[in-house]
Amino acid sequence: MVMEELPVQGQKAELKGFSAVLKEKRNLKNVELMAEESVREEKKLTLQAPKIEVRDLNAWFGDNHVLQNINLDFKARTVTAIIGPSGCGKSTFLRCLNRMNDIYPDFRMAGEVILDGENIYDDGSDVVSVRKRIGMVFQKPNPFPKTIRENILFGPLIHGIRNKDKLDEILEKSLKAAALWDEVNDRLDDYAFDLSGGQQQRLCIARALAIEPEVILMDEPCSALDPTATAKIEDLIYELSKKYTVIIVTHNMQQAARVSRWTAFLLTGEIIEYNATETLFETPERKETEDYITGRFG
Amino acid sequence: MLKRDESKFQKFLNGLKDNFSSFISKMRQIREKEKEEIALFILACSSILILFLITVFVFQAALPAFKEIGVLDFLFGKSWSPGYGRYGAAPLFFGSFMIVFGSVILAVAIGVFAAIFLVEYLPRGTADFIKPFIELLAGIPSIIWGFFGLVFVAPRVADFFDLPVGRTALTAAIVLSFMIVPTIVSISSEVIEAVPQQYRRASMALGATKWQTIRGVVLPTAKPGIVASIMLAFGRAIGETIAVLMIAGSVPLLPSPFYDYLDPVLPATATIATEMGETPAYSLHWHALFALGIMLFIITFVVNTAADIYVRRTKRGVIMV
Repeated sequence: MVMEELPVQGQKAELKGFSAVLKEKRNLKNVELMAEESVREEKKLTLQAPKIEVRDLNAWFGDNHVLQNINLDFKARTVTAIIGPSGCGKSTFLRCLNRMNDIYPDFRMAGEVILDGENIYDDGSDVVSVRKRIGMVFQKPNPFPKTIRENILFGPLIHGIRNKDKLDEILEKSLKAAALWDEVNDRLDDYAFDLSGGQQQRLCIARALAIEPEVILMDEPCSALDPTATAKIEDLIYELSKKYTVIIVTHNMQQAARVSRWTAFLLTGEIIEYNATETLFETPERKETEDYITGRFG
Repeated sequence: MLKRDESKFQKFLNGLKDNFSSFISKMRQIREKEKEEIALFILACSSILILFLITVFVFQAALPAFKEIGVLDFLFGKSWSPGYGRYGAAPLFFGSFMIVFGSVILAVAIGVFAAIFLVEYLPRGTADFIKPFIELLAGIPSIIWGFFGLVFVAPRVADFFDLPVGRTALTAAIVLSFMIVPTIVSISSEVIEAVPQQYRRASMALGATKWQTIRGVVLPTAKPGIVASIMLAFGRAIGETIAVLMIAGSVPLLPSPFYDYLDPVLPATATIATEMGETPAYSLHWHALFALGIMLFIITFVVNTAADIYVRRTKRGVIMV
C-alpha cells in the first residue's frame, strides 16, 4: 500500500513541475498571440494539411522489429517532439523520415511516409531530393573538418549553385537564421572546430538550413551541450518553427515540454500516445505515458 | 625545561632519521628509474648515431668527387661515361625522376581508387578478404618484379609501341607502380576507413550522393594520410634498384625529346649498383658513385621533410597516419 502511494505523490510533484513549464510557455505565447497576425497564422495552421503523414510504418534491423505500425501526422510549421526511453526506436523513426536508414545494410521497412502527398519511399522518389527537402541535425555536433564558410556552402555547392553572390547570400541568411551570424561574421574562414560545442551545433543547423529544406529533423540536438548552449538552441528551435516544420527527438521531457507544440510518446517501437504537448504532459490518457513522464521508468 | 627540550630534540632527530631513510629509498628509486632511462636513452641514441655515421661516411666519400668534378658540372653535366672521365649525372637523375614520377602517377591513380573501392563500395567481409592479398604484393622481392617486367611487361610494351626493345622508362615505371601500389592501398584504405561515419552521414543528410560525399568530405579529410602514403611509396620508388636495373634499358643518356618515355634510361640507383663492383676504391669514379648516393639521400630527405611539414600543418579533425 505504502509502496503504491509514494510514487503517486512524487508523480503529482512532477506533473506540477511540467505545468509550471507549460504555463510559462503559454504566457509567452499569449503575449505573441495578441499580435493579430499571429492569430491569423494560428488559424491557418489548424486548417492546413499535415506536412508529413506516416502510414503503417514498420521497420526491422535484421530480425529485430524496431518500429511497429506507426501512424502519425506531423503538422506543418510547428514543433513536434518525439519522446521515449532509450532504445525505443525514436532515432530510427526519425531517420525513416528522410531515408537515412537506407545506408544500413540490414535495415528493412514497410509502410509509407508521405511528404506533401507523395510517398518518399515510392520507387520513383529520388532520395537526394527527399533529403534536400528534409534536413537533419544530429545528436553530436558534426561539422566537417573545413572552414565555417565551406561547411555552410557544402550543401548548396553539391546541389549545383555556383553563383558567388547567391552563395554569399545563402551563407549570411543561413547563419543569421541559426543565430550564429553575429558571433562568426568576422571569421567565416576560420576552422569550424575552433567554435564551441553550442556554436558548432548551430553551425550544423545553419548548414542544414542552407539547402532550404521544408522540414528539419533533430536527433537529440542538445544532448552533448551545456545548459546555456541548450537554451540557445531551444530558442532557435522555436524561431525556426515559424518557417519550418521541426521534428525533434529528445529524451529530455522538460525540453519536449518547453519547445514543442505536439508530442508523441514512443515505447518499444510503438506510438503510445500522440497529442498536443500541454495535454500529453498535464492529462496523459494512457497509463504508460503517465508512468514515463512521472519518471517511474525511463 | 631541559626535559622538554630533550624530547623535542629527540623528536627532531627521529624526524630526521625518518626523512633520511625515506630520502635514501627515494634516491634508490630514482637510481633504478634512471638506469632504465639511461639504457633506453643509449639505445635510442645509437640508432640516431648510426644514421649520423652513415651520413658522415657517405658525405666524406662523396666530397672528393664534388671537389674534382665541380658541383654544377656533376649535377648538370649531360654525359655519364666514366671510361672517358665524364661524370655528368643529369641523365641518371633524370632517368630516376622519369621512372619515379611515372610510377607514382600510375600508382596513385590505381592505389587511391582501389582504396576508395575497398572501403566505400565493397562489403566489409569482402574487403577484409582482399586486403591481405594486396599487402602480400608488397612482400614480393624486387628481383621477382624485375623478372616479371623483363619477360611479361617489356615484350608487351615493345609490341604495343612497335619498339625493337621493350626495356624503356615506361616499362620500368609500370613495373615500379605495381611495386608501390600496395603501400598506397593499404595505408590509404586505413586512413579512409578512419574518417568518422558522422561526416559521411552529415553529408548524406544534406542530399549528397555517395560519390559527392567521398569527393567532398571523405577524401579531403583523409588527404594528409593519403599524401603520407604517397610519400612512403615515393621513398620506396626512388630507392628501388634491382627491378629498374633489369628493365629500364640502362642507357645513361637524356631521352630525346626529354619527355620520351619510350627511351631507355639508366636511373642513379642502378648506376651505383652496376658500377660499384668494377671500380677501384678511392678512384674518382668511386667517389662519383658516392656523390650519386648523396644526391639520392638529399632528394629523399627533402621530400620526406616537405611531406612532414605538410602533414603537420594540416588542421585538426583530419586523419593522419
